Amino acid sequence: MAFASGYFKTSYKADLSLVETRTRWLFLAILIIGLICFPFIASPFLLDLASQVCLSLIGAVALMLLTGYAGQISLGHAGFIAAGAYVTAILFKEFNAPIWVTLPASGLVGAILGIIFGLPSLRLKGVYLALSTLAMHFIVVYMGAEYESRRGFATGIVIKPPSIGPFIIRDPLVWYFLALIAAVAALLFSINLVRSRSGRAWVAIRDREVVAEAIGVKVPLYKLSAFVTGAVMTSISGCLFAYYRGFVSVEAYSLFLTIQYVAMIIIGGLGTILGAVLGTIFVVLLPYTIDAVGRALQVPARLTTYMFAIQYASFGLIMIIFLVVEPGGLVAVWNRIRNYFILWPFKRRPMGR
Amino acid sequence: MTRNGGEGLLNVENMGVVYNNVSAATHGVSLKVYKNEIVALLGTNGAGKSSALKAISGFLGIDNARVVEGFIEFKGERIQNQPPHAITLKGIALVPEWGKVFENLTVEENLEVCVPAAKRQVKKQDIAQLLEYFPPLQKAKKRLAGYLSGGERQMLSISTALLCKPDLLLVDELSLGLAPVIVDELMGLLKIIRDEQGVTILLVEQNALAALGIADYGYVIENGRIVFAGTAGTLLSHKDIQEFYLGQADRESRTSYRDVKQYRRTRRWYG
Amino acid sequence: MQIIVNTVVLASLYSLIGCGFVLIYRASRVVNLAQGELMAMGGYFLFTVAMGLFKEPIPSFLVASVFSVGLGFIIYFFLMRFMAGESVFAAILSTIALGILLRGLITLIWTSQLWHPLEKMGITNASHTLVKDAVISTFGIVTVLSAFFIYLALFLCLKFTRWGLRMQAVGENPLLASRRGIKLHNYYALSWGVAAFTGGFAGMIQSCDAILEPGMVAIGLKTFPVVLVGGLDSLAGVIPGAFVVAIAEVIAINYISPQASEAAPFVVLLIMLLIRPWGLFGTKEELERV
Repeated sequence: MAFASGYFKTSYKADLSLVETRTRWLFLAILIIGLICFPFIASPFLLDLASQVCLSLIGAVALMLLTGYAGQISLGHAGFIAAGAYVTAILFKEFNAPIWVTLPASGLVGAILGIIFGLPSLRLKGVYLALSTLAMHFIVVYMGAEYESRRGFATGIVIKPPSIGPFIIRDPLVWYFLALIAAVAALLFSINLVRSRSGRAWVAIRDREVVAEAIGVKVPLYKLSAFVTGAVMTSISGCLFAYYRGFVSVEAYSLFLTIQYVAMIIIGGLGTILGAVLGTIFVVLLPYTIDAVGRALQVPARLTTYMFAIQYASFGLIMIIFLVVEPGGLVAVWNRIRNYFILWPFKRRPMGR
Repeated sequence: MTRNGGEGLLNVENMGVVYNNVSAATHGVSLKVYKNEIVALLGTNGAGKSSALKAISGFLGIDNARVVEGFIEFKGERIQNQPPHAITLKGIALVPEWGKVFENLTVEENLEVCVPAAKRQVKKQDIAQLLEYFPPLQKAKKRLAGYLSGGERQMLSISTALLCKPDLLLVDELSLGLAPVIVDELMGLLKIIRDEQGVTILLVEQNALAALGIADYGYVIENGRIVFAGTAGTLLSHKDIQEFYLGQADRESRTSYRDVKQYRRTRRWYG
Repeated sequence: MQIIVNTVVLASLYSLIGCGFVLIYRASRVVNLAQGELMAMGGYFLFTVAMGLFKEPIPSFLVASVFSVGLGFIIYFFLMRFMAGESVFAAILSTIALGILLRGLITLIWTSQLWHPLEKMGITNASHTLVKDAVISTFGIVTVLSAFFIYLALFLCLKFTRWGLRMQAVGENPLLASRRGIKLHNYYALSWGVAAFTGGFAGMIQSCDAILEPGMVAIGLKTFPVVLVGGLDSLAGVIPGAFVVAIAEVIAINYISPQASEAAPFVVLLIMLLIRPWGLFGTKEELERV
């Protein structure tokens, strides 16, 4: 990390702290106040977007842990989300279970699925692993579809808003804070996890598996733990999403959802938590931005029917541009901008980083 | 300045190679190769000799390396930072250190795969003529290259390089992983090939004794710089070279501590 | 009987799509997840040509094939060229992104309506009775025959021409191939061109045999089980792989449910990855390479 001159760490405690300088405390305080004030000034539409970003963030951070840190390629992320959502839907429909049952239950199912998805990773890597997770995704979605058609919910399953005690969570404002808390919890958990023993073991496995094993990292254990951690977090976000939307249907969990999550971590920048945050904001807001641009440019009504296709195509195009032009993702852009201001008026970054 | 009265073929001037935009592998390598010579480039691990050789034979995008300073001139033409196939077609062929042969192709296919797109008949003749230098390959024509022994692989690699009709043959670590007997045999073959085919050879070696046995001229590279140059005879009789590359000096007779210090340190660093 | 005929036609279709996939993989170690989109593009090219240029079927097919090959070259030179030497993951992702882009473009240009290129060419897809209770459509026969001939041609090219040999060399050791004077980009582009052609050709036939719609790309997804069962780097393995997957799918349709047929190929894929991850005809070393 680039700092202005004059900042040195003088104790181990300082090295461990999450927020390192007073300037950063200041920025963080401004950010927190901004996030708390946001729902009171924003329109309902923006509030909905913010909640979506927060909920997606959980899944994106989970995928970042799995792919960005542990280096295990997964194309089955939508499978985990679907699993969380279906566990919620099934428990709700069959047993009328409340949220404090469905939430841990989807986490548990996520953990089991994580082990199952992770087992091939003990033998396979790269392309083979990616395709095996892809296969798992199709099987999970098939099971969900089978449940829907067997029980006669062909158009999807409607879920009532969750209630904790006498309170029914329905107000967008409450949802926003709930999603925000969940997202912040996921972020704090992940940031601390990657600084811990498991995080370092994952990075070691990602960088060179054989060497990691040679220096005593239990490779199978940590590979599975990466899958389980990612799967639990993602399933929980799937459960929350199911409640938030109030509706579960198999169409929502297509391969495209996986690709969106993968795009989040790619566009954000692999191997950084900040990347997951930036990528999630970017990907969730992209279709709405394109919509807004279309409306601002007063495109003829004939073209608005093509809006979905335009969103689709530009999503692919933007992903390609990032992969080709800026493989480091938004984080690299962010670092460049920050370094520019920190080092101004000099141009070169300091050697080493 | 000409050595052996020959004309210049390759001229590397103050070349600096940089990997991943930051780490410099060579700082300022300058060397000259004249027509029909065998030149040896000596150095320990990490001295920058392989980087220099790769820079001459061209980098792929995968290597993420560039020549950032100086230039490489071949037959009067600047060739730095061109893709390997372009350089090969200009007349420089490399026998690489790793990945010498296509392991899933047979020996025959390995030979046929090499470009210049000559007519089939001509190419057959070339191959037959070339294989006369290497009787073991003649016998193993139908075998998969992956099953060849180290020496046979080296022979195959040399012959595929020669099939590209180079003016300059670059050989990276000929002796790596081979028994001394085979190294001597191959070195002898290289000399014969030079005499009969008229190719110029640039050898990169750690095994200084074997290389200087056939070389006309030698360069010593350390820490990415050329530190010593001279004819093979001069190098062989030089005290420091004897001590550090030939392993035959007695400690008492070295000239002074100052002369030796640089060598000592690199030896300890790179083991 | 009918089941067997259906299986053979389906397997031929899969092997047509799958061989392009294997070719690209063998030449450049890139897994092309956009093969389904390449296939759909073929169908749309045929439709456009049949609508605008010719009414005759054979010239239409030829011109559409040329378009397909061109598409493959364009994809290589404008996108995949930059992915050479990047990680496996980046290359896979760029093909995914490419797939999304192509799918978006398809809906933009041709809308998501159903089209019938067959009508534009003024021919019908007649049914023929093979034996007493087995029926095959004209384009079913075309599928089987073209799969046969394309495989024959590919096999001969790869085995007996200098191009095939070099393609193999490039796939095995690109650095050495380049150092022996082989122009890597040309061979990578060639593999993309051929893959776009075989995939696109499958799409053309399929659009005649059934209908033309963006949902066609889903067929492309099923090529992953096909090629993995056969072995990712084995061209000959695609055919048995295609049969295994087609049989699984036909059985699932007939005995379980139509929904199950979507998942059946992937169950096969998982089973294969568990017992023999390198596939029926693949090489074991391939597992380490990617």
